[in-house]
Amino acid sequence: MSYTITCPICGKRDLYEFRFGNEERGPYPNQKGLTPRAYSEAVQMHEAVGGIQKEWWYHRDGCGVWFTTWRDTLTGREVLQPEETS
Amino acid sequence: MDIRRISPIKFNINPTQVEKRDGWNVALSYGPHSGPFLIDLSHRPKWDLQNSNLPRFRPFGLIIPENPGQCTFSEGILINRMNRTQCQIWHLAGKKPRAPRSSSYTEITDGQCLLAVTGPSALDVMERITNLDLASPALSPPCLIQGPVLHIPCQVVLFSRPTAQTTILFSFSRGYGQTMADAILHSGKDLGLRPGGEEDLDFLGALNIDG
Repeated sequence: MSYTITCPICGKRDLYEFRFGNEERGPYPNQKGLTPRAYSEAVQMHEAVGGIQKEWWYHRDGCGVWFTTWRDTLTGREVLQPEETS
Repeated sequence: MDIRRISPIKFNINPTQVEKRDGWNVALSYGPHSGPFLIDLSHRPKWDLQNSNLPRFRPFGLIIPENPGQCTFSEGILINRMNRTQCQIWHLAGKKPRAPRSSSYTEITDGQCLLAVTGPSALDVMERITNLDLASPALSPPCLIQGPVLHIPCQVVLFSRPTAQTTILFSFSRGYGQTMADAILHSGKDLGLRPGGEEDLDFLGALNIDG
């Protein structure tokens, strides 16, 4: 059995309908005075959290919407927002 | 010069009644049979409407549904709200209206297939080809469900769900047309699924409007 992801429009669907868009890392740093190293780190150096993280997903086979959700990378399962679980 | 337009789907039996319409050969009937039917509606005019301010549009004078997943059907025109900025308009019955002039509209008739599965076992047929829950009591027809059918991204419209005559419409990229039609007919063979024509669509008769 595969995992599910909850699309804000279509609801809970099979993981295979989605494309992973990587972890949510906020906006890119300001381009002005940005060094190659700082730019490279912004693009390449992900947190790769072992645990709960906020991620971008794209509903490729459905409504075509990009959205964020929370997922536990240790179990692969989608989880509620940390604020909601505490 | 006449433009000749060809559906990507060709069934392995010939229709008994055909009508030439806007360059398409439209199959009206494949003979007196009971359903369920798989009907090729690819010739039906379709438009995609994208704009960040959808509520200000009134395609053909009709109101676009407010929420994604909602549909409205009026005067033979079905409007499917897909997401915050996009909806599709399918002209299912009546005379072809004049194409909208705004640059937010894209004519997609030739790029997308439109199929209908209709008849008493329509939901049983769909259950074999998609894991979308079209039988959910939470759905209130007509409504739009976006997801894969036979692993192909589709817009699926649960058009009506009376026990005797369920109708499901779904559209997808033209290139998948023949493969999809063959696979669906194969899946529903033991349920009696067979090719149907426009006249087998009950709601057209109920509306009392011609193609």
